[in-house]
Amino acid sequence: MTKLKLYKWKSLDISPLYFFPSILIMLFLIAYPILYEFILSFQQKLKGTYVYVGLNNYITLLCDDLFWHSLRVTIIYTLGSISLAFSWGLILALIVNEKFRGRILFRTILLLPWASPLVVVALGFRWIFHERLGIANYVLKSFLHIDPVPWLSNETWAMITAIVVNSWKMAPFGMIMILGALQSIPQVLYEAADIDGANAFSKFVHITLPSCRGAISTVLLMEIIWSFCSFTVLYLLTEGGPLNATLVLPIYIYKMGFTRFDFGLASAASVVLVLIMSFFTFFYIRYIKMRGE
Amino acid sequence: MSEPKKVDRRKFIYAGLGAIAVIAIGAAAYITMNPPVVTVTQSTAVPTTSIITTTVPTTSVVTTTVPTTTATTVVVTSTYSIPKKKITWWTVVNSGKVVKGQLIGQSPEFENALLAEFVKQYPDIEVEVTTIPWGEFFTKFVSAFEAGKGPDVFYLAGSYAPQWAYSGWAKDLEKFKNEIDLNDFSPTALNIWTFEGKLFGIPLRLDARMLACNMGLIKQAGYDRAPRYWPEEVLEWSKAMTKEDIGQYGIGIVGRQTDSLMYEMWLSWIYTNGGKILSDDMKECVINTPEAIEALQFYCDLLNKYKVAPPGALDYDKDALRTMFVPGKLGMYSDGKFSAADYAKNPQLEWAFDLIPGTKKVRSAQLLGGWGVCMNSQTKYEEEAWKFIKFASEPKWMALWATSVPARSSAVSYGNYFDDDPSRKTWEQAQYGFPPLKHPNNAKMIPIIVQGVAEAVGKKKTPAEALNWIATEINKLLKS
Amino acid sequence: MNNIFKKYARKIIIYLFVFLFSAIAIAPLLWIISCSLKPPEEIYAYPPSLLPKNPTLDNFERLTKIKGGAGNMLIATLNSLVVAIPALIICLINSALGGYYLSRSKSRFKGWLLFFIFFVQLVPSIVLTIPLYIWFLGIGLIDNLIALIIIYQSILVPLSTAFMKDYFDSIPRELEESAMVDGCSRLWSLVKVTLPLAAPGIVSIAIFAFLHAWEEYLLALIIIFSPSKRTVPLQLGGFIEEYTIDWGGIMAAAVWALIPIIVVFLFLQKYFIAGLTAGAVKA
Repeated sequence: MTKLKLYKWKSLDISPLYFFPSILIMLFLIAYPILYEFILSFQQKLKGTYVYVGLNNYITLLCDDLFWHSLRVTIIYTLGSISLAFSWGLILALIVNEKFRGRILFRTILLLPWASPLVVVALGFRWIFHERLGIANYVLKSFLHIDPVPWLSNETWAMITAIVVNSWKMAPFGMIMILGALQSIPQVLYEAADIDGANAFSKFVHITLPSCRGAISTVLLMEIIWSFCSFTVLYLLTEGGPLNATLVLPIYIYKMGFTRFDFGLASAASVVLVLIMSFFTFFYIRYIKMRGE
Repeated sequence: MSEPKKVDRRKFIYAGLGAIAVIAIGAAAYITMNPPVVTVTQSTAVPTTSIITTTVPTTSVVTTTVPTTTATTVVVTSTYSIPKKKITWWTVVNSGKVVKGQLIGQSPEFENALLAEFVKQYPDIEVEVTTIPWGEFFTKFVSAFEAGKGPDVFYLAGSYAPQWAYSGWAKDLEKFKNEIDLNDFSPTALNIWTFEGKLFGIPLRLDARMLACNMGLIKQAGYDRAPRYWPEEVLEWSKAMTKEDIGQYGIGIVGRQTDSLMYEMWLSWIYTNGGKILSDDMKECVINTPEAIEALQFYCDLLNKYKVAPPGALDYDKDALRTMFVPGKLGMYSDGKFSAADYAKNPQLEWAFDLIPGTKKVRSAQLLGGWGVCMNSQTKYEEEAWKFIKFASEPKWMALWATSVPARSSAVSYGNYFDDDPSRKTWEQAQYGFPPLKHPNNAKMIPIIVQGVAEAVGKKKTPAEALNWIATEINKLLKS
Repeated sequence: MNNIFKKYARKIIIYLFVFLFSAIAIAPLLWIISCSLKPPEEIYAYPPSLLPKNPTLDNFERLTKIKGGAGNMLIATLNSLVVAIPALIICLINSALGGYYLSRSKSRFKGWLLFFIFFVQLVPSIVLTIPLYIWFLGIGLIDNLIALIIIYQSILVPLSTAFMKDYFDSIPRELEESAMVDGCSRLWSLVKVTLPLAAPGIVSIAIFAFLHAWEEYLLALIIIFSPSKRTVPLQLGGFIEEYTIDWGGIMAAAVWALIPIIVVFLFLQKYFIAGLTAGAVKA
């Protein structure tokens, strides 16, 4: 038994030391804050000092309508964003995969949204969708004679605008990842399918999609994580939305902490958010692994 | 032979590294639990040149960094061998324009000038100033004080005074306050900074929002003055100035769910109608009286029923309204004197400020803002901090910084403050002002009020339902 | 006949979509550029003009002047570079080592480590703000760009490590092993043999890291105090003041922030795509 173990170490296996710098960074920069938040979530400020109040914050959290509303908003926002961004990215990948003139140029242009800094995107779109002075409504009115759309001042529209902006930024990522997978599909498969008399749709479903499975799952996972945790874009765009219509969980946490000065509650919400994300990722990766085998 | 050794060494290394990691994290935790005493140096200024004399203690030399270089912090050092007491000072900056004549406003020029003089008077105190842009001011202040690492002295906005006083972040100045002439100060201003009978900050300036009017549009509609009363005159004026087809509206309604919604006209109208937020003994929320409902109803009706306000109010705050006011698409809205700088961008705009409309019984009302200078309750250098506060509240310095309405009369005359109309009107409006809610739970109450009002504006609840909901929620808070 | 028609129809549809999506991708950016060139009267004017009638470089000029305590775009750019470049170098080293380990190791902990990497990715920056603030205040690194370089590793390393792992997976391990048989240590073989092959992947990680370090806002807001140390996103946010929102300034600053990105992209997009796509296959 021991002899086998020794042999294992001695073999060409790589020393875990390689991973050490990363682990160190992660422990300091992530584990410590989470630990801090975890401890803080059991405290509350009474008369200027923090005291332990057990599960009080969590109970307040779970009884808070705004929390559940925020959770709902976050889920809607995430699902909306990934469906739009993913399908957008998929279509783009399929198109850019074709050979046509100027392909490289267009590919670069299509990548620009993803490359643009978040702050630029958020503030830029806030100006574009300004109800009175923004170019979006102006174009609608002059060319299509549609009444000004309350992009950011109507609850439903604000969510739609937020989803569109988020997808606009995220879609190129999907495009690139799926493009890579598409480019590695051997042409032979398609030719064989042609011989068998398959139509375009069937080829797509039975050859293209399965080959991209890895890329697709990565894209979906990253987009879900980015959407669920997105703060900067939404905060600069709507600050939580007209009547909290776009109050995603990170913004809820921010408001609880910095506006209501209730950092205990904010920490509790943070812990809940991290737990949700962890469970989701855990099961997602497991599912992918199972499907893969 | 070599294998066991290799394994042992590796295990040893891993154990060592693991121990280091654990110790490091433990140290990190320890440091944060027991913060080091030294205040954080944030200055990046070039070291000073000091003059050394052999017998007499020297004067200290101020190093100011010229704005064209990168640093804007000022470090004052001297060559005293006596250990100097250092205090940290945080202040806010806002564009730093020279407002008029010699008035410098919230800018690094002000800080440099003040510190240059301060050092002459108190050579044994070292002041380290940090300038924070307005957009980040709030987040940074809260973070610092939450961490227990706030500055010794700081300039603070009046709307945060309750929070800082009740959470114990600001120290009450009762034992020092008699060193300054409190009679020179405006009672309204002092009131904003007084909690439970104790003064928690020395007011520096009073801010009051007013009714900003496009006199051009008003005259076009056939009137020669701004409306004075609601609902009659306000409605009449607004209707006359509204031309939907060209995107012009009479009055601006704000529905954006931020704290600044508290400063909008709906609250003024509640107060002028005889309502208020909390009962006098602060034990009950009385915002849902019929008078208050009437006021909020009118506010919402302007937008939803009479349609004399730009739609999209849910997204608008005063800045958004201003972007419509400047090109002349808005007749009236609530804003402060400083926006005059923005108005200048459109030379054709004929603007003026007037009092917020009220009722025949109460001419006007407005939630007041303002700034003051406070002391950190955890400061180690109380005396020095007080000296600074006293210095900063001297008429000259207050006058240079305030640029709206200084909190003391002698400062007013120093800066020719009432030379222009907006300043005079601000002062007049301030006489009708009321301070922010003085309650420990102020920070939790405001989001509730703001949410209720926004929901009323957004037609999610009727004004009556909204105010009733606010009252219920706040009463819950008051009882807990 | 039918086939040729089909081919043309296909080409037309493709071009249609390409133009449509490119327009969607680039229109907002073009509008931002257009607004940045407008004088204040035009920005606030209604109806808004698609192209500036009186184009002016005023807004850009204002960016380079010190605005009170608001700092200066030139300095902000410098600061952003000072943060982004070391951050990406450290990130590269970390993720190369980590990715290499995850790719080559036969340890049974590999799955857990992978999950750990993803777990780290899950924490939104808002959760990190106060603890990191207190932590770095305790160390004395507040208001220091070095703090940002360290903190950004937490955002950059997880995803980079995962990508590197995928990329290394696509490089056969026989190559290193033959080098090691020849007498190289593992590390040396990594540097000399594997890394050069992984060059496209490295470039794409570098670009990815640069982009994220360049655009990060929230953590920079918490850590940086002095106007002289602000990074580009902070500078952009600084245009929203108490009494005015300087839309012209914001648009000009936005253009300024965009230019390095576009330049980097134009030159390196080939490697970027090559790097990402190769890894994606095995994901």
